[in-house]
Amino acid sequence: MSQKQARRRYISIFIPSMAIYFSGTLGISLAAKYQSLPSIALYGLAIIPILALIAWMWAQWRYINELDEFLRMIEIKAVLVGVAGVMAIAAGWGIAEMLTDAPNLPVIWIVVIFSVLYGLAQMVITRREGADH
Amino acid sequence: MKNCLKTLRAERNWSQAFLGEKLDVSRQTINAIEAGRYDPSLPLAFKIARLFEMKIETIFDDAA
Repeated sequence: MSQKQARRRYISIFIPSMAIYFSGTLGISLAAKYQSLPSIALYGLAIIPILALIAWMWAQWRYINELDEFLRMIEIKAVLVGVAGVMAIAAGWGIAEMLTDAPNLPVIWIVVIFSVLYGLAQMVITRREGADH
Repeated sequence: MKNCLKTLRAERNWSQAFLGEKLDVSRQTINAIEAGRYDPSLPLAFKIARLFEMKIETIFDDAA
């Protein structure tokens, strides 16, 4: 499989899964806010964004395996930067919440923070390694 | 690691994309190896050597 095909396959899972994740999260939040559904139904619906996230992670895993060794190295470095960033922010904010009056940071933001850090790291590492030309 | 991949490719009038296809890797990977920014794995180095019918140490020089 070519690298372009692998990327197309990844994007074809990534975009719908993120759309389901964000719309599902928003839908559940609104349903909870207006109490339009019983709480047992909300718990059931919460599975939808989780399944979307699992689909994204599976597509990411498959994509990394389908890339050649050089591009795989770049992806793995970018994922590591994303994970390290999320851990640092989560731990730092957690300590700040515990010891100071820092506002509560909902755990749901972890996905967004990871996605942003991963995307930025991918761009920077791709440029640094010269894989953009 | 220094290598003469660019010269070998140029001698055959192959593009980076064509060589990448032959080796089942991306054009970016060929570019990175040629520029010395990335050292290929042993399996890929063997593949390159087999394609050009040369020894690995003839193509890659780890002295530098």
